[in-house]
Amino acid sequence: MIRIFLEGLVLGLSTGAYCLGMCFVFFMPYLCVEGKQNVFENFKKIALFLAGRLIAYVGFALIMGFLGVSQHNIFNARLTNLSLVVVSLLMLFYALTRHFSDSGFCKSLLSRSNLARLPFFLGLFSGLNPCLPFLVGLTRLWTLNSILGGVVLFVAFFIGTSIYMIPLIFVSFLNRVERVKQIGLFVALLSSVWFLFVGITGLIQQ
Amino acid sequence: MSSVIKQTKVSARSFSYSVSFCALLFLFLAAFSLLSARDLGPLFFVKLLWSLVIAAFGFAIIRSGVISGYRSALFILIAFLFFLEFKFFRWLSIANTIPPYCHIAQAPTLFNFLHSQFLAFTSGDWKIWGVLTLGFLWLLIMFTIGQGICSWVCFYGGMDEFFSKVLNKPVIRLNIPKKGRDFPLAFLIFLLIISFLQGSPIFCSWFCPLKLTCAFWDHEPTIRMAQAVLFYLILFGFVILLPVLSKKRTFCSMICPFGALVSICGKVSPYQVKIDQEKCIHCGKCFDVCPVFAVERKDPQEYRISSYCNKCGACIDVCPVDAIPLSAWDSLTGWRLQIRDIFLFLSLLMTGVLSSSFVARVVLQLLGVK
Repeated sequence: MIRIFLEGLVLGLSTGAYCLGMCFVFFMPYLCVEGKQNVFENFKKIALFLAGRLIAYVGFALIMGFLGVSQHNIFNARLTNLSLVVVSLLMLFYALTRHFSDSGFCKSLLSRSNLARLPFFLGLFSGLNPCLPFLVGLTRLWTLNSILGGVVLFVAFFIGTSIYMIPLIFVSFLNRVERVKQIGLFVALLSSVWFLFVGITGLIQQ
Repeated sequence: MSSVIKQTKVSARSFSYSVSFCALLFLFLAAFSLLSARDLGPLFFVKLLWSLVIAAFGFAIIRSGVISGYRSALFILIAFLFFLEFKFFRWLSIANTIPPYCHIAQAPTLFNFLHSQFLAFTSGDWKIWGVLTLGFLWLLIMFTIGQGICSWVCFYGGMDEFFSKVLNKPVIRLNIPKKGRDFPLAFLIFLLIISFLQGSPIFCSWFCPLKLTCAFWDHEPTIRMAQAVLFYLILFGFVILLPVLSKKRTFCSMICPFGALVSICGKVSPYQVKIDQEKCIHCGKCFDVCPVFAVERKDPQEYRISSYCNKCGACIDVCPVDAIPLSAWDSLTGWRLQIRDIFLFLSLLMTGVLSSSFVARVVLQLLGVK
């Protein structure tokens, strides 16, 4: 188990920069807009995001472990594309309502939705995205033949990649400038449309 | 008012000064031609001829004191020759040449480039370290003409400029709010992350309306169809239709990620275009004429030039009271020096050096010289 843990940790540490890219594209724009000039406040948001990712990883490892190798192809491809569509829709909803927050309709939508929980769901669904490190971890998972081993691998992988998230705490300090918020919203909008397209074409092509 | 206008228009230089400027420029370009051609063959002589053309444009700008018109003509001519060489070579039965490494593509794949350089460096392949040449050229341009690259050197921007000059007057009055002007910057950030994540130049395969090759089309028919739709939409919308109707360079100012990167990095250039608030008569002509929406109207009594300024000279030429000088070092030292001629010299030199390679080739090919 220690060896599997170390494998996951090293995998996370060595490929975390790519992993960060995937999370950055969804979470950074959110932090640019919603982040506060307070490290503790930002840490709470990042912790929620990481909690979402952890649950996604552990849940994925458990489900894959129970289903076994024979089911992995169909399940994995559909799940990752579906999660991509969901996280993109979440981001699109957020970016559009924030962008048009002056309109009455968007204002009422924003007041009804709890944006504080958004990082958790962003973490949950972006955690299942088919990024390169995740796929490498998945390949190792198939060879383990152990449910517990899979969970340990993905928990260690999560720890390894999470180290790369630390700089995110300071991203929100940029939003002191109003311009950064606007740019963050544009990035959120572009990313959500792009990944919605990627997710939908992925689902169609299966 | 007219007496004020007449008194303050002082940018035209004397004949002897203009000739000296032109001769010095030609001398520099000729030296570069000799260095790059390596022998006194046909390539050298065509490069020399091209140096003379650039120097002639320099003379016209300095002598008349009008930047924008002559710059625009040169800019469009270079773009035309560039596309003739790399895009439309089949129509003219001239030899196919490998497209150069696109500078627009460099901006959204900067992370990929740095990553590959890092890998080359750590694996011991530092001898072929591309950053030594490309990085040096980039720094040289940024520290000299800065954002001026977009209006003087960029071979793609010339297309946008050409279409924006088709009509004499704009059919539609296009204006982008300040928030919207930052869209290319957001687009650049998005592309930097996505390109790094997917390990491929996403801008080139999906968004570039000026593709020189077909290498970026996807093999899958549905994806290729989507790419084609986006390609034609951006090409006809932002490179042709909107520039024609609005007389603005809409691709450069609304989409181009390179322009966004340059607007940040170009701040290291000492040259800047600023409105002298004391001289300004708030006529708004600079606001109307700026092709890249770089003049901001804070209120009817205050106009400012943003970091998106390409130093094309349109506002300088149109200002009736010469309230927009091309100056330098204001922010660094507090001194504001009128060194417009040095900027013009450097811009023309860069233009001449960077365009001479393909211009000389296309001329030789058209003449049938091997």
